[in-house]
Amino acid sequence: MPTFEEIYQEQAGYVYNLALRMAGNPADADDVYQEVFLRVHRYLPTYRGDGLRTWLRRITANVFCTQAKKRQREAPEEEVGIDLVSLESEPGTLLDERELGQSLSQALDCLGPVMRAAMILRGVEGLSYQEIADVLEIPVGTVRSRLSRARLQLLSRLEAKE
Amino acid sequence: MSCAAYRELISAELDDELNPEEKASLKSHLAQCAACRSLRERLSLVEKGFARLPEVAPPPLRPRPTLATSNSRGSAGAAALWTTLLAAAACAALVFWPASKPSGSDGVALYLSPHSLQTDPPQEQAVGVSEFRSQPLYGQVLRNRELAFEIQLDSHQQACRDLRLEVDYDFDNDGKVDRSEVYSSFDTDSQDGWEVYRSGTAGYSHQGEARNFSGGTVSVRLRNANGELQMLQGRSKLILPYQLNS
Repeated sequence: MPTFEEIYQEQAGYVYNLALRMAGNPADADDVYQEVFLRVHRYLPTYRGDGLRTWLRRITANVFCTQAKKRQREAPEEEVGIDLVSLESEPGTLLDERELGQSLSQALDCLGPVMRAAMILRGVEGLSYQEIADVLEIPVGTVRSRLSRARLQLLSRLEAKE
Repeated sequence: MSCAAYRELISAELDDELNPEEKASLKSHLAQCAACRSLRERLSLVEKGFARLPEVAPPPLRPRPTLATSNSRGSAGAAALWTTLLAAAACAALVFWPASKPSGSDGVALYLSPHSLQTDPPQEQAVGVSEFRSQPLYGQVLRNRELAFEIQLDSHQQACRDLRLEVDYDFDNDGKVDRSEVYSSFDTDSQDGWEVYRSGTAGYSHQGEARNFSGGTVSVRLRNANGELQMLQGRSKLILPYQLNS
């Protein structure tokens, strides 16, 4: 069973980058990150020793969602205004693949907190819809529709940026 | 189904979350809809961006006095955590052993005083300081010699891992680091009592070439893996492989 110090030494980077990608700015990410390790310390005696990253991911997502709701920055969940003209652009001409990571990092700011969290859990962490639903405590169908809308928003933002 | 409805299927297809009927339906639609084919291709490109998001080094955990002193529910764990973390961050009391006088052949001794690196042993201990900078130095590098140090550490009952000593040189005082050396991987034990660490036993890496000092400075930091130490104390020294001008 890992000690708190071992977890911190080995997983601090993972937790912080996950928090940063979900939160989108260093200040909020730091709040999440600090709270995650508080909870890790508090709940370590109940950790069963399997799937450390799964455990950390769940804590991070929970902390992020709690703090996001507390800040009342949840984006409205109605259909977003995707620019249909941009969605019909020619393929492969608008996205600069070389700067895609940096551009995507900025484009993620257009998503509401839960949509953004779902997108990160899928795009970065590779979770299934069921796993995302479990982590974020929302229905699987909601995960699917939110990811679809998130992708369209990201694409619209990325192509508008060009 | 409209194109708008197929967009959700395109997204789910990228995630391999379609059932066979949905796959067949989407395949049929894409065969006859250029706009949705285009959309799928561009969304596939967006997916590549997730593997390229920038990585950032984590900041150190910060102390939270309000948590540590709170009596609210759950505060005991928080207090214990921050006690642990502060102990880890401040775990090493650093004492360089009293040194012999500087030797021209071995180099020059620089002692860590409360506010600087100096050539005379300090009168008081350096407390609450983790970075030390010398006065302007003038002198010649001694080739075929390396920096030496000998330190005593005591982390009391809190083992401290991956301590590192970082030494930066700005030879010409232009504000840029011309050479940096890192001596790494001291792990203190969790027993009370001094432990001795010497330069020959540490991991070592450097960047930049050694040059003569022309009014530049050397600075020293002791850190653990999480960031800077919160407290240092002791009479401490480095032996720099330099012959300083008198």
